[in-house]
Amino acid sequence: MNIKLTFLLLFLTFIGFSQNHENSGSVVYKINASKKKSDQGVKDSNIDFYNRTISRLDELKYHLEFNKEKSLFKIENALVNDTDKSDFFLKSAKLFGGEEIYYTNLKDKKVTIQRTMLGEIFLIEDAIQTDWKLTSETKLIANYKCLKAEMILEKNKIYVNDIKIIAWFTPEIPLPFGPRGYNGLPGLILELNYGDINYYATEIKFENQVQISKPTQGIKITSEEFETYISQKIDEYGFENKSKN
Amino acid sequence: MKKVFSLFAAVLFFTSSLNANTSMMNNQIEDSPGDCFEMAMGVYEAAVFTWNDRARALELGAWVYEDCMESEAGPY
Repeated sequence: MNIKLTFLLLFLTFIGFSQNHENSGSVVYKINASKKKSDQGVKDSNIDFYNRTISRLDELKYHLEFNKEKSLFKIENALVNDTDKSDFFLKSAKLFGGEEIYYTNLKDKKVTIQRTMLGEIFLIEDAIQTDWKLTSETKLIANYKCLKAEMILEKNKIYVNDIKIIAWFTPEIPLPFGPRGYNGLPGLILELNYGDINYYATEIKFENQVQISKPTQGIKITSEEFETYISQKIDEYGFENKSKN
Repeated sequence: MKKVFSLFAAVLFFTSSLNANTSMMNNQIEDSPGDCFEMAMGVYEAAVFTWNDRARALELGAWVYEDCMESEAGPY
C-alpha cells in the first residue's frame, strides 16, 4: 500500500513538473530572406541594397523567453549602441530584422515595444493582435506539428504597403507567444514570415520558472503617436522632399 | 569616424546624383552637407522601397546622415 502510494505521489509530482516545465522556457530564432532579382522599373541600387542587407541576416539571433503569462522577444545584445559605424550593412540588417524588445503580458492583453529611434528610447504599448485567419495547412518544424495562420498588417503612416504575416504555430506547446510581438494563437509560433523576412526556431528549451520583467526605460507613447512622430521626423530630415537643397 | 561610408553608400550617392538635375549636382560638389543629404536620402529611399517601413528607413537614413556630417566636420 505504501509502495503504491509512493509511486502515485511520484507520478503526480512528475506530471505536475512536466506541465510546469512546458509552461516556461526559451526559443532561439534565426532569420533569413530570399534574394531579389533585377527587375525592370526598379533601381539596381535598391535591389543591391536589399541583397547586401539580407546577406548579413545570418549573423543575427533572436530570443523568445516565455512563461505562462508573459514573453519577451529580442535580438541578442539588444539596445547596445553601435559605436563601430563602419559596418553599414550589418546595421541595415539589424534594422531590417528588428532591434526592438517586445514584451507581452497576457493578463493585460498588451504588448509593450521598447525601441530606439534617433537616439531616443520609446515604450510603445499596443493590444495583442488577434486578427489571425487559421488555415488547414500543416508542416513539421523541429518535430512539432505546426499549423498555418495568416494576417495582414495594414498600410499606415509607417508601412507604405500592406504586409502579409504568416505564422506556423504548434498546439503541442499551447502557449500563445511568438516573435516580434505576434501572439494570440493557440500554440507557440515556431516560424514567422513577416513580409520578406523569415524567423525560424533553431532551439527550443524548457526551463523551470523563467522570470520575465517588463522593460521600463523609455518615453511612453501610443502607436498612433509614434506614427505621427516618425512622419514629423521624416519631414524634418526632408527625406521625402525632393526639392530640399 | 571617417571610415564610415561603405562602398555601397557611395554607389548609392552617385546613382542618386546621376538621377538628379545638373544644378543640384553642381551644388553638391560645392556643398558637403548636400552630399550627406543626398547620400542619406538614397539610403532612405532604398530602405523604404525594399522594407515597406518608413520608421526603419528613417533610422538608417538618419544614421548615415549624422555620421556623414560628423565625418565632414572631423579633422581629416
